[in-house]
Amino acid sequence: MKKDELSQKQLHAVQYWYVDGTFELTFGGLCLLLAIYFYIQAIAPESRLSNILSMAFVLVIIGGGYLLSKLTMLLKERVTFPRTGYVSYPRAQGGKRVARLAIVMTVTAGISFFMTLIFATQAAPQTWMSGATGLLLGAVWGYLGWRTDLPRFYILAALSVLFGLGITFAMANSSLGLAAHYALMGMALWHYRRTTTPPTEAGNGE
Amino acid sequence: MANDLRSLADVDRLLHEPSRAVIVAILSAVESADFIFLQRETGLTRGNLSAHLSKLEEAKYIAIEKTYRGKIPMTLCRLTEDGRQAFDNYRRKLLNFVEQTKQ
Repeated sequence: MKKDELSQKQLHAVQYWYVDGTFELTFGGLCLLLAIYFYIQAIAPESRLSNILSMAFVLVIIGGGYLLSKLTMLLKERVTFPRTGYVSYPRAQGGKRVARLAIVMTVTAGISFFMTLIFATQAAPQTWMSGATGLLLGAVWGYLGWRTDLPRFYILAALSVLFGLGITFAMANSSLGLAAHYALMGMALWHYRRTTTPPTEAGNGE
Repeated sequence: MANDLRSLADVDRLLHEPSRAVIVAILSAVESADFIFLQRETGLTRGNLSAHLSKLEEAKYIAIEKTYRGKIPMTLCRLTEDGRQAFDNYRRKLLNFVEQTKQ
């Protein structure tokens, strides 16, 4: 359905957060860090470092998410806002905020537990880790695409699923597969960032 | 038809101006936005945008805060609760009018 002009303006204000490519830059960086994280686990699977990294997955995700938001904001404050204007978005307050945090904690703790279990028991579906990650990240990109109406998020969703399933069928080692998956996602995001044209500066008016 | 026209005459005149409606629509989607962003999104001149913002502020539909972000001065605008209600009512009335005139 075609949106009216007021709805389009509202949507455009929401899209503004994603138009300058800083989100892709920082999220791509996080993906590459995760690629290194899983690569270490792949090359030294039984080492103490690998076990510590496995148990610290929740901290890596939460800390990474925190760094991601801080770095994105820092880049926007330095580069985007002075040129094209400052915008802040409504944040969940009170109970909603607590509920959202609880969901994030539960999901990451669940993933961490699942991963630790798989690595510790050498369970059969290990090779499906990349596929599952691809589907999970694909769902996140798909949600972002639906929320912002930006087609590139649907492309990223498709890429994530494609990389995940492709690596699952091509590789046996789940850590190496995950490292490859995150490395490919990081490179795809950075490639997008390189080809993005940031919004132009506002005119002087009058 | 008379009823339709009466319902249209009932809409908020302050918001029934394209530029002001767009400003309020943008602010309804965000927590706050500064003057530069609003100017870029609306395509208005500085003077025009200032005039529209003043009218909206007078009606208490928006709150304007002159502040600094680092060393850079900025004019931050946010929609008040009154403004949000007025905008919701305005859109509802317009949609009703369009629905009624369709029949």
